[in-house]
Amino acid sequence: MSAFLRDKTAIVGIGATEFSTNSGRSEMQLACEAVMAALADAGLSPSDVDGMSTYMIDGNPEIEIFRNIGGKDLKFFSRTHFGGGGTCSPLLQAAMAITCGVAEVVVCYRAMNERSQYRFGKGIGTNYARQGTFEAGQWSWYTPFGLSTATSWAAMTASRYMHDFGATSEDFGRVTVAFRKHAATNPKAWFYKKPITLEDHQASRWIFRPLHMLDCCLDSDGGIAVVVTSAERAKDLKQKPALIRAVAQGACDQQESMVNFYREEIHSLSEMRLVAEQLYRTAGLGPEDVQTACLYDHFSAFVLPQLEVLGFCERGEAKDFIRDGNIEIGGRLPVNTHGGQLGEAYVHGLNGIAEAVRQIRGTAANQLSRVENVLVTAATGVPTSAAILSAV
Amino acid sequence: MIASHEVDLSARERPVINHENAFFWEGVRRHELLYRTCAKCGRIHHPAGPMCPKCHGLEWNTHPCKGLGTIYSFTIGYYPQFPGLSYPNPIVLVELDEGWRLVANLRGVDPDEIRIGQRVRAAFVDVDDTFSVPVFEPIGEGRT
Repeated sequence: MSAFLRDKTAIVGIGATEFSTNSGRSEMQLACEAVMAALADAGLSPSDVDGMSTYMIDGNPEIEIFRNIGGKDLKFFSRTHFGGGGTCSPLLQAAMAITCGVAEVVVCYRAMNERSQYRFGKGIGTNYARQGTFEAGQWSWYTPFGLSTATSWAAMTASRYMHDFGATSEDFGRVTVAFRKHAATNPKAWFYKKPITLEDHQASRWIFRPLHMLDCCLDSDGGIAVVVTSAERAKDLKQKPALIRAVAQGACDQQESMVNFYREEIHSLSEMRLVAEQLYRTAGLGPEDVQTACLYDHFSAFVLPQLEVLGFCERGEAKDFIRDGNIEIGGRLPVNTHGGQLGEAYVHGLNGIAEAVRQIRGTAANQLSRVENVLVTAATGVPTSAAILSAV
Repeated sequence: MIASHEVDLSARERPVINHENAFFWEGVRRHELLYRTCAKCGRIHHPAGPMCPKCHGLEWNTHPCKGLGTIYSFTIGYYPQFPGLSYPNPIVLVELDEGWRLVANLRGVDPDEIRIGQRVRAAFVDVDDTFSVPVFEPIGEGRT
């Protein structure tokens, strides 16, 4: 990302449905409810919206939501491939569209009945494979062997990480314990008032060794939306703006989607390193300037190398950083104060952006003091994205 | 371990065959493990794609691989259980001696005894008359 986009745009509205295991309504309804809640939060109406942006895998096309909410003229619509790696991509799309004058108010959204309608944890099966695309052929290097779920690909990566750096299953477990602790005091979290111990983590069943069930994020139903407009217009709106100080995408180093098995180091998270370099350079900030982070936690094991490539600790030392309590409230870098996708809900990471906005506004359930800059990441191991959101 | 006779092997997920990977699966059917190098610059290309990232060549040479390698990483599947496979299901990422990595299942080792760095060799399983898959087995220490 070029510094040209720094602080030009802001998140001015956030909205969400409840998070559950069975929403009892369509994904489209969840999307419409979340979008309307975000617009109400911003003090804007559907007629103000002229841009819509999301990321795959979302079952709600931009125009369908736009028509349902009674939108008028849609001038910008986009979506980014690669699932949870796209969490922050709509922010980049919005920042570019708004700064270039293509659109004025862009709604970024994700709504899914990922638990009640379909579960990613069941794996990519024959239906996907029969599409006959190049991608389907690529997945065929794995699916005949039963390496067919995100957990399986993450486990292959985590296994080598443990070998190379001496991290243990307990180190992964400490991540879940910390995020469940945060979720326990967040009334919106699915696991509100339900903390776990390290013993609970160790006793949970294997999904793909070395990953236990409690290393894997929730399966959730829910909708969430954020509203982006120019920093100038944000001054006149209801809420304290969360400036988009920097936002970036990244794919590099023989990038694959979750199966980066052919890099020199399969756990290098090279794509997040590329994103981090762009973010810090654009923002003119370093890790020391970040007070809290919402790190994508599809799997506890991927939080460790993220902390390393984002510069919060040295390579291989995340286990020590976590053992010292640094990712908990009161630590050096409280991570996922809402509980993350291990504790609040799995809505492809967009709830992490909402939490970052709340921390900047001062309205989080687990509010920290003196928050100026929040780092938010998307899924890693896939082509990824991340952002630094800042107080004015 | 669950005995393989309890599993309907033919229910196993089949690969989607395309221009890029057909040589591999056809080779496996004949119990040959094959890999490709760029005809111009010699670079190994796996997973196979249409163009050499180094010199942009579109022509390929196919070579037999000895099937000897080292476990680079592994996982053991418990859930969900996919049709045609035995559980717990060990899956390995093997660094082959020729200089490429391949994913396949591992047989003949207690799941608790699998180690990164373990030497393995490729064998083949005939799923039915039209479809075979590679599988790795331990060699030397670690064989059970």
